[in-house]
Amino acid sequence: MKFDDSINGLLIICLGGAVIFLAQQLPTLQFIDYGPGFMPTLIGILLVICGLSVLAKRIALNEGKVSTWLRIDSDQSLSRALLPIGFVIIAILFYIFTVNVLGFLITMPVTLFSLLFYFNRRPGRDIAIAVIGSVAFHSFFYQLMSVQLPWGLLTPFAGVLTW
Amino acid sequence: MDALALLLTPTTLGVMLACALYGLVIGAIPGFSAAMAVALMVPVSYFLDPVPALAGVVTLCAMGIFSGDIPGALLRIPGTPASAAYVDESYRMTQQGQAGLALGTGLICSSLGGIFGSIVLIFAAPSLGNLALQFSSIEYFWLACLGLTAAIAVSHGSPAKGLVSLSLGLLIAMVGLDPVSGQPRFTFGTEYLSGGLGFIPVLIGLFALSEVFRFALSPGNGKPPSVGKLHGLFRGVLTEVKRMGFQILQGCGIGTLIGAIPGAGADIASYIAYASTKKQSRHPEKFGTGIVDGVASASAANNASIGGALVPATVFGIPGDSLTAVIIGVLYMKGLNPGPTVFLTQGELITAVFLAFLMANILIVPFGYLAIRVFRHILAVPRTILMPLIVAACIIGSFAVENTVFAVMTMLCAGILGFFMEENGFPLAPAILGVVLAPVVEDNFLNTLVKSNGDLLIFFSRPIALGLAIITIAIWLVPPLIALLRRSASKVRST
Repeated sequence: MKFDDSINGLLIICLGGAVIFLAQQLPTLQFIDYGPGFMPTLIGILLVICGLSVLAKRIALNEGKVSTWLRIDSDQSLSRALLPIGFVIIAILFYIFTVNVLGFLITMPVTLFSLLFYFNRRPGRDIAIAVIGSVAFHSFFYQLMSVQLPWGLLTPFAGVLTW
Repeated sequence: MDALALLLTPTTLGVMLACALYGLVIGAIPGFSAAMAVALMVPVSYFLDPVPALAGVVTLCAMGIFSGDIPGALLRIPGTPASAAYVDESYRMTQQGQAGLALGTGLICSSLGGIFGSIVLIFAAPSLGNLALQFSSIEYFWLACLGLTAAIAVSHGSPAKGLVSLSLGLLIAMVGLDPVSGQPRFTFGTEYLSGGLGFIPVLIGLFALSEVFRFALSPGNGKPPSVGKLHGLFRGVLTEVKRMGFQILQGCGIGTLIGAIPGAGADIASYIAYASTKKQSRHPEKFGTGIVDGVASASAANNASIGGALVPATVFGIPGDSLTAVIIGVLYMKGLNPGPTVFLTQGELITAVFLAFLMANILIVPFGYLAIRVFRHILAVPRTILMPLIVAACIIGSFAVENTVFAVMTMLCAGILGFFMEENGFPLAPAILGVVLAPVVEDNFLNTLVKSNGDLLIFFSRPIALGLAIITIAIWLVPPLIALLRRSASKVRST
């Protein structure tokens, strides 16, 4: 998913400008002029200069002509090619927003199954991998490494489901 | 002896064994980098004692770098970027029925390179550590600046994009409380951000999740590619290794030296070793047509570079490449803060880690042999199954260290950022170096200025600091000046 470098340059300049603006709101130290905003300001200036450089190079190379603002290394149309990425993001967001309520042992198999099914379309095998994979991850991190994975709805059964 | 005793415990050996297998598998899968393998390993190392954790990570690095050679030789797809320099050479050997010789030579040379790098590390790091004891915050400031500068100077592609990547890394590290004044920075009033963005979620996002997004963009048909035939592994290897003794030694030296330069990783080391062997060869025209000389020194160099990179990483806390940046993160996580004093206060622990690295490089031979033999089976696992499992590992890995779903959100954002950066030609390595080095630069800069009441001349007041400052500023100014002079000279010529 490649943006034209003129867009990249502009994005970097905007980011640099925002960083400089936010850094200026930070106070300075009492005895010296360099406070918490000093390094961010430098970074912001660096970003603006680099953004200008990317933009200038792009204009110099192609004399300002733009064939496509955004292109992808795929035979499919842009929207179809971006769909799987969107699906991965949605699957992770689903995990983030539901894990504390539903618990790891429900959320992870659902997340894993949805991703496996999206890419494989073999429901039987995908369910098996999702369940076995989730239990294996839970056993390793919860039982062996003592990571406090959330139980959510399954809290009353936590004792039974722990070996 | 105490260090050896720390290393030879069942836990440490067990972790090393597991990491060796994991590193060989991940390194052998095309498109999966050693950095990605280490990124996914870091959350596990968080829950281990320092020696097994670090022994596991260095074993993983050594194995991952070697096993990148296997798909390079059999599929013409380098498993890791470090194998890219000689992938054509080894694949042509496979086409000529010499896959066994290509992989066998690569295996022995990788092990020799790694052993050479480990020995340099074991002897050079403590000696440099003694010298570095005289360093003050001024020298550390310039060293970190030199590290950041070198990261840009050697990064692939446009320097401006390398600099953007570095700035983004520095910016990520700025989030949270300012280390000197304690003032919240870029937290936008949320308490989640006051502790800063976690290093491990950022690392996992940049190196592992971004790879999943790239796969999602073009998942392919899911079928494993056809693998070149493998005959007579190790047949004639020892004769070739003896014949190319000098070139291999040279590869080891180049790898160790290049590895020690901040920002220059195993990939650059192997390119330079390959080019240097070709230049000195009596038959440079045969390079690229499937000649074992092209494989030997370059594969020795890429493994030697890790040992070289660990020298500045442990002595100064300055990472040589993205892999050592991760190792520095693990060192901090395990309380083995890199710096010269680590050799005084925790000498046994750090020596045990170095010995583990040496042992891992010796173990490359039997484990590598095994990996070559089972490569077809590794490749048979469809990526359409592996990638969702990697997403799950990314989620749990980032959650495990911070015990909050906010870390998963951080990982997701870092993954999107990493994907965007790679797709648009912004290298990832400077970003992770920026994340690691930002606190070193800022702490030392502000602490020095507090000492001098804001007088900037203090940064040039000590001889070593002055030397480091001159080198750093020269790297900033000399290349653009040369470019400017060339441009004006060509203009004068044309008019």
